[in-house]
Amino acid sequence: MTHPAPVKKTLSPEGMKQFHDWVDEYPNKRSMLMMVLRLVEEEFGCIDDDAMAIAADLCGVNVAHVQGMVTFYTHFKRPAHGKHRFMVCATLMCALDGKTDEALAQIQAKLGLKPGQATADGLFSCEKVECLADCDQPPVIQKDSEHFCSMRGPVLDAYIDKLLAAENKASADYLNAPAVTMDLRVSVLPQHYNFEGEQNVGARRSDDKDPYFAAGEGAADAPRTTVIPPPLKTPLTAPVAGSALNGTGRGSNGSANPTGGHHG
Amino acid sequence: MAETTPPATEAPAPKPVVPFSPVLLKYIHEPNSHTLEHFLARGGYETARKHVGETDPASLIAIVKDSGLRGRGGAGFPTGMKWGFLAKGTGKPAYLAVNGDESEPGTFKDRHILEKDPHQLIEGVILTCWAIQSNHAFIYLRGEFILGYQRLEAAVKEAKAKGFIGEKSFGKDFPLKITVVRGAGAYICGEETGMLSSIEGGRGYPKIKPPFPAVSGLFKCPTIVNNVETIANVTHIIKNGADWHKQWGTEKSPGYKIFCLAGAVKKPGVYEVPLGITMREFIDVYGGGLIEGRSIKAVIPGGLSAPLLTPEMVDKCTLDYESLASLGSMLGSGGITVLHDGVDMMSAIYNTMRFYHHESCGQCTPCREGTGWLEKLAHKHHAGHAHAGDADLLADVAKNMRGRTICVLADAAAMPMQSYLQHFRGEFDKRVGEAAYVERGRSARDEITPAAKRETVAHGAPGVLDVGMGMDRV
Amino acid sequence: MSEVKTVNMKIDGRDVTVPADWTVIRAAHQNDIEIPHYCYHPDLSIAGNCRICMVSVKGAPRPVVGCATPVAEGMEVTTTAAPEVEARKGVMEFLLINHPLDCPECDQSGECKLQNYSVEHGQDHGRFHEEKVRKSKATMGPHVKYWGSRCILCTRCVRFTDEVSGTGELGVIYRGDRSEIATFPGRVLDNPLSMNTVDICPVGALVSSDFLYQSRVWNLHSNSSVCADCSVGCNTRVDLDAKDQIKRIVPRRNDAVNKEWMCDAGRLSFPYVRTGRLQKPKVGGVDAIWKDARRAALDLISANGGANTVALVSAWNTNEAMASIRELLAAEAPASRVYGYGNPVVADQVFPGFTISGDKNPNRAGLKQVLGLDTEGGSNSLKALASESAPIGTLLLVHNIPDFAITPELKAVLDRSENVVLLDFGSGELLRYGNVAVALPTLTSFEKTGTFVNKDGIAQAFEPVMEPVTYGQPETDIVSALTRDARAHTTGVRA
Repeated sequence: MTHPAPVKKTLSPEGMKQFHDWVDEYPNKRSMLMMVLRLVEEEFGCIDDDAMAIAADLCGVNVAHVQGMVTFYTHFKRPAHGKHRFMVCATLMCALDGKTDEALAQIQAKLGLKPGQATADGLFSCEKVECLADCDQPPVIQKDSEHFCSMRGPVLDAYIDKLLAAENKASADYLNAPAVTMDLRVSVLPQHYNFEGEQNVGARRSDDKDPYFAAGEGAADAPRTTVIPPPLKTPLTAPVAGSALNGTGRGSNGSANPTGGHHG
Repeated sequence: MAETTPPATEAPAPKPVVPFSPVLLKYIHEPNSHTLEHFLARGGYETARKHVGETDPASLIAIVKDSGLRGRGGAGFPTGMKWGFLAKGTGKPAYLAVNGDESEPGTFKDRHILEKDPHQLIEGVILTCWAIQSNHAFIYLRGEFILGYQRLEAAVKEAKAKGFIGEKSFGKDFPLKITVVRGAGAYICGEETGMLSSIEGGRGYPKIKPPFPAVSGLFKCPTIVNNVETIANVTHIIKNGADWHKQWGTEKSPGYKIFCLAGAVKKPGVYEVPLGITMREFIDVYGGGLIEGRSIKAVIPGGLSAPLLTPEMVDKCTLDYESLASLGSMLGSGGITVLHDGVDMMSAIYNTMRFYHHESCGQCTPCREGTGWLEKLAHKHHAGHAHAGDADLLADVAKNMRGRTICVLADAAAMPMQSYLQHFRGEFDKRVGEAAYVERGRSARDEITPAAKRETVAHGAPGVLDVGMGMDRV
Repeated sequence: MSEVKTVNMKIDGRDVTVPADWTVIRAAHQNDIEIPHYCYHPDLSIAGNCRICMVSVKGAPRPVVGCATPVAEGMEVTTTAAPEVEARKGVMEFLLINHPLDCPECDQSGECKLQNYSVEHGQDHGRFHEEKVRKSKATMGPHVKYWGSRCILCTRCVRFTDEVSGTGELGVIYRGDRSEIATFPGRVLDNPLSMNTVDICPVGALVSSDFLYQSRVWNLHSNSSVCADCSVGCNTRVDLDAKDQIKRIVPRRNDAVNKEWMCDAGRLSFPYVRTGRLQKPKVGGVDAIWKDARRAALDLISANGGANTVALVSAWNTNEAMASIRELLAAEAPASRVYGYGNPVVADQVFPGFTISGDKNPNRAGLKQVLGLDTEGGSNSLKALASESAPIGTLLLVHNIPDFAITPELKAVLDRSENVVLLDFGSGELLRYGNVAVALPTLTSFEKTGTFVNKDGIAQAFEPVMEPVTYGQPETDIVSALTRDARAHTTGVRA
């Protein structure tokens, strides 16, 4: 309530215009939060504390509430995620027959990343996510706004190579440098609010091992990401890879692809 | 000659089979199926134009009710009946909330409608809003649907530009807004009230029911929540009539549904089929049968939360709500996954439990703590160092989670666990690597009544009641 | 007032009649039937997430939560049958599986709902042998610390900051069993009502930094009192240790005055009881016995029938003290004048569910009622007295205000006074003023009986919570003794 952290960022005029265009579509400002968070995510590349404060201000809610939302919904991009955020589906249908593991192994081979890690320069990160609703073509991977099915083998290798080239990096750069564990916890409080005798700087520490990341790698001991990645500007209106999905490569009984077995 | 009535035990004569070809997925293979031109060329928006502002809304509800359409999101509740429950005369606006948060693992049907035929959904939304007299529909899409959001948002803009929605829908005195809201990676936002909490701008915490959304939902106003597939059906049913819909399917599960086939089959994918066909036909004919050299170990029939079907049960199963219920499972969202004989069931159940643990919203105690406990125990079995007695403990934990929570995610986690224990108990036992924990002798204390316990405490510890045990203060 | 619609229902076989808009849990509590609860609080919105308040309703297939079930005509509720007992046992087990075994060091021990309900409704053995989820510890704010691992996510604290204080500092972060309570970076829980979250936390997750590790609650004994820090007059419970040291002050429920809330300032104000006290009567700056001090005081007050006496009575005195002053002056100094003063009145701090009064005096209303005096303005306030310039022979200053800084107005009056008879419990600035002829030590509101009238006109009587720590006496008694002395004197009996 008092001494709020000084907000360094403001929303661009285009962003404010989008916000004002949206206002009439909603009965109240609070209900705009999900989309406003997407707006600041797109504008700043990820949702950090400043973005949360801006969203809270625009929608007239307390910033603690916004922080609760951003940490509840796992798809929002946070500063700890890499500029290129790989999300690999690890739910049962993709995990069957080791397909997920295959894809993860390829990512590790190319970028030195285990799930839950980001590269030290903040350009790439890898994480396991839950079902991405394309279970007939495992493994399914999303990289930011791009969605891929049957993403393994040469296709996956080629894609990673393309990203590396775009960043002027090589696979070898990452295989020798150790990756960092992504710290997706909320920011720490100012130091003077520590418990007396607290060993660790910053009052907010979490010791539990999130089973979601690779087993045995507790968030407590690994080095932290220190680089805030540069914003990745892929506005939602840009064409998305995979839009030629209509009718290719998957089973379906739409009209162009008749299967047998109809009644009568 | 006196007519003999057939004996009561004989089954009624089967309905004559009517040829079926896909309705909802009819055009998804055509490259421009998502465009307005394509939709208009096939008679799109004609049904909406005909009825909005013209037809008595109650009669539309009656058609949908008569058709027997059931919710396609998983619960299978009769749609027309749900619409009839909408509270009237409250003085508050009514809302339609369309559930496009397709997060149930094994389900991938709504994606195709959203990406490849979004106008079909929009027309269904318009007709539904007219029927329930709502002026504002929210379509909630999971955050991971990027193309779906782009296509749907573009389609909404096109419909608005044409005047199909807006201040005067089809030029009639019926204002209609459609707001597309994006989720961001929470399975619990597929639960109807979790979705409503998310649309309202908060964490996706489900709400306590009663009151049900039809009475008090979005922004405490009467709200109808329906799945994307359900709404997409509305146009076809209103256009073709209830009897048309009832040509297919069974008496209690009329019509057709999109099923999603995944796992160890030759042709996984989405298939729109009449309800009532056998599971065998679906897997063998549509799915092309099992991949080379594999046989069925189990089938998950309705999304990850549905109890398993063993091969024997698969042979008895037809794809309708009643058949699956009678087999102790559920049709659910229609996500059918075939597990082959090489699948390690301990791995599968661990993966399942990890999913629910990760997705539990954490609001209420049994689910928040129970999903974690289930995962930890399942992990021990997966890793091969479970303690003897852990499988019985799993059964008890799953039982304690059911029926005691705000929403059914706890049940969705407990049901697969109970199902695996029932059908694959041997695999659990094989993974026992440690002896049982030594149970402290259970005292007779468990049989002491609460009143007697209070007495024991009162007499046992001097001074405890002096400062108040906090009982006097809430 | 319109008729409240009521319903008749049965709880555990008993017929009860309750308002129709109540929930089952409130109906039960009102009829002295205990239903265990964590997240339910009568002054906060319903959350329904702890799931322990399970009861069976006839006709429902399984137990329901009592906090979210509205009552209905003819409803039959049981709270002690097997289904709900089993349900509660299950929920208790789930609450304890990730809970740390902190009882040996947790402040809440002894007044912890988890402990209590575990005994009453839980099982006596644990079956969880896995690794527990561990969460952060944080200092939420200047007065509140948070142990995340102990938190059961009832969200009472979050609802409090949203609904009662309206400040919204707290939120739930993360998801599932990793959920914690947190503030936003750079913000802390520092609203003036923050320590109420410590009261309402049913476990030891939120603890008061002030009370941290100070005492075990079973070594404390409690007595009821009324807070004197402002004119709300929150009802309090004062917890003291075996040596009569005040360890903490917590609010008591009074729906007409403070519900169950209290501000932080009132809770933390008690150190003045033990520090800076005037121990013994003083005459001319030298310790004296009561008899001599009273003699000196009476002589000064009643000189010339009180023609040169001015009584200045603060709004921190009890109604009884004011009545005895009135009696004394009428009898012994009928020509004296009486004025009133107190802490300055500032703006109220209004929160959605509570108001901290800006009137930092407990008994301005009593001052008005009993002596007809104002403190802020008016012809018989300190301001009016300060604007005069005539010298005062004897100033009878009945003070009793803790932590008081001498205002310019009071200084002006003191400077004009030849002699001051001071009734106060503190040994601060006032005492060292050169012209204090007689200082009579009084007692704090913790050590005496009395009545304060709060800002809404509610008279609240209080009893002492502890033995006096000085040789002081309640001012009521001192002034009555002066009256008695005077009478004795005139009847010729030398005291």
